[in-house]
Amino acid sequence: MSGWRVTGAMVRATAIAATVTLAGLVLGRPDLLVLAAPFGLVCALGLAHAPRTEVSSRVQLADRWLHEGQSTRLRIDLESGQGLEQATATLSPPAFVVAQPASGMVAATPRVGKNFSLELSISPRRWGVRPAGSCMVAATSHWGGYRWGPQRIPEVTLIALPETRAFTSDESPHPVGLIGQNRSRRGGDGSEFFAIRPFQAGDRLRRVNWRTTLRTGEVHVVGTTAQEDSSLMILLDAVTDVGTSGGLDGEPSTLDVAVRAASALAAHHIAVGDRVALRVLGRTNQVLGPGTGVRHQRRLQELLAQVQPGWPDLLGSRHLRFRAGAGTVVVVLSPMLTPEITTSMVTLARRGLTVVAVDTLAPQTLPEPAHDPCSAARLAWRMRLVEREMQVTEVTRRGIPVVPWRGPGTLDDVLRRLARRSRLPREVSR
Amino acid sequence: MSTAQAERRRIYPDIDQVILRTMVVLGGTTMLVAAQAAGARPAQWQQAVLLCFAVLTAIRPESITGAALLAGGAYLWALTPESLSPLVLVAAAGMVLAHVSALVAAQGPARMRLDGAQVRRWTVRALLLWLAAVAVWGMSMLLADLPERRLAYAFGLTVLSVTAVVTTWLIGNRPDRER
Repeated sequence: MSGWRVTGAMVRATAIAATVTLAGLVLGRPDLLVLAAPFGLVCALGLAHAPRTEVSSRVQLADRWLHEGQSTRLRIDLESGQGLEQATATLSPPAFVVAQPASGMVAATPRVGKNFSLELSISPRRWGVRPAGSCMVAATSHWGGYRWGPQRIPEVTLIALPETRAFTSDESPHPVGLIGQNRSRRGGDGSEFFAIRPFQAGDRLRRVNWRTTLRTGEVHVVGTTAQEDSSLMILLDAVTDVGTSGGLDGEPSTLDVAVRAASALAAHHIAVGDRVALRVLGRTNQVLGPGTGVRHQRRLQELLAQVQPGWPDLLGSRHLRFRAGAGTVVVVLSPMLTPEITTSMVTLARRGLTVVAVDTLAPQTLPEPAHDPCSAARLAWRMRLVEREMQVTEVTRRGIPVVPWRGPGTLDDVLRRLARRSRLPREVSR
Repeated sequence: MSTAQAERRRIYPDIDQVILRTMVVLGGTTMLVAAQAAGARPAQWQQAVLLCFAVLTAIRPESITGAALLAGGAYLWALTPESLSPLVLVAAAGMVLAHVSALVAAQGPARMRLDGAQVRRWTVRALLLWLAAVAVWGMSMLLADLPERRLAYAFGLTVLSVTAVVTTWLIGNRPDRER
């Protein structure tokens, strides 16, 4: 019976039954025996139903991997033969995890012959690796005589993948692969009109343009552009995380915006058949090579869920090796507050890669002291923002467009202009 | 796996817990009123102390004040001149109500929603416990008519002895105690 203890109610009933009965006998008052009788009975029944077996508890999550905002069931199984009458579980959810019921407390009465479990719904409100919370369980025997616990149950961890908000983009500046949905610069067996050209061996008869053929006296066909995939590298700046994250229900921090944008970009480009790579510049320094497919997307989201802000071990253009192939479009998600990151962007652009910077710092993201006129931090933030403006100007001057993250279509205009630019002849420094 | 909306965390007990804990105070008040109706004249400070115990038990149902509340109720009843008034059943009902309400309230934190099955089960049990008081009262009424009052005490002592023996036997026969 280890773990079972007598309840306060049992002590109360025993004390009252004993003292009031004794007083009734000593004073010769049978009415006191009337008052003591219910407590004597509840005491005897509590003793008669004393639990004879130990309780074992087990906690499990229905889904360990889920997206932020989704919810899953946390189930606590209790096994103790027939000794249990009632059980209570209380969950203290950590930050960015909410429980349903909101109090985090649930009680249940087991039915005879059925597995006894307590269930709570929990939902992570921010991406990341999060403990489900500290859980305490207590159980009461029949007639409330004995109590097991409260016992602390080992915590379980859930992994909240970043939310994939809707993102669409039509253009890709450098389609280089074999298959995909991006319009290539060269002609091929696609569906989009490219040019009317003279017939060549291998052209299909259904592509013959009879009107031009009759006018010129030579067989002409309708040429279409090839459709190819492209390569995208997402470079995520996790050196700093500005702002206080409110999870899904509040304002996002810069890292929230960056991680969710990276997830949305990856989901869109993998869905259209592009190869997507990830490089995180932060404390965790995740690297994922280019790849495509659902499994690759899942792996990428897992790495995003493990991003932690902090200064990377080796941050500098000399040490960084991005391994970005020719034609790769590099999308940098950054609050543009770290000069080393902007230097890396310029280095990549100098190598001939197409680099697009997505600014994740919105004016409302700045911390409270930045807006407080009485705070010295306001001046510091002003100076930092001036430096940031200089960095943005410098990056733009080097031909790297900087756009704020606005969700769907954020990169459309930029990529269209870059695609147009990539078709023009370029001066190459030798 | 489904999508959930965050719900604001409450820091105060729900209405069901408030009602349950009010029952503890109501039980204490019932004991007091029944004793006064039966002729007891407790001092005002005694009444105030009893109500304080009731409120404290409602707030902390697992505390020792619960035993003090019930003992105080029994003491107030002992001040009545008439020993077998039917009002003793009202006092017993108050004591059972206070005890059972505190027991159910102690099954979890104050912010926990009550388990309906437990409330129903303990309502039936409270009625059963009160019926035990009714049975003892009825037996006392029968024994009061007997010419020899000492027989009543002998009967009471016998009942106590039998209860003690049965309880000891129940505890002694538990397999975990045999190991």
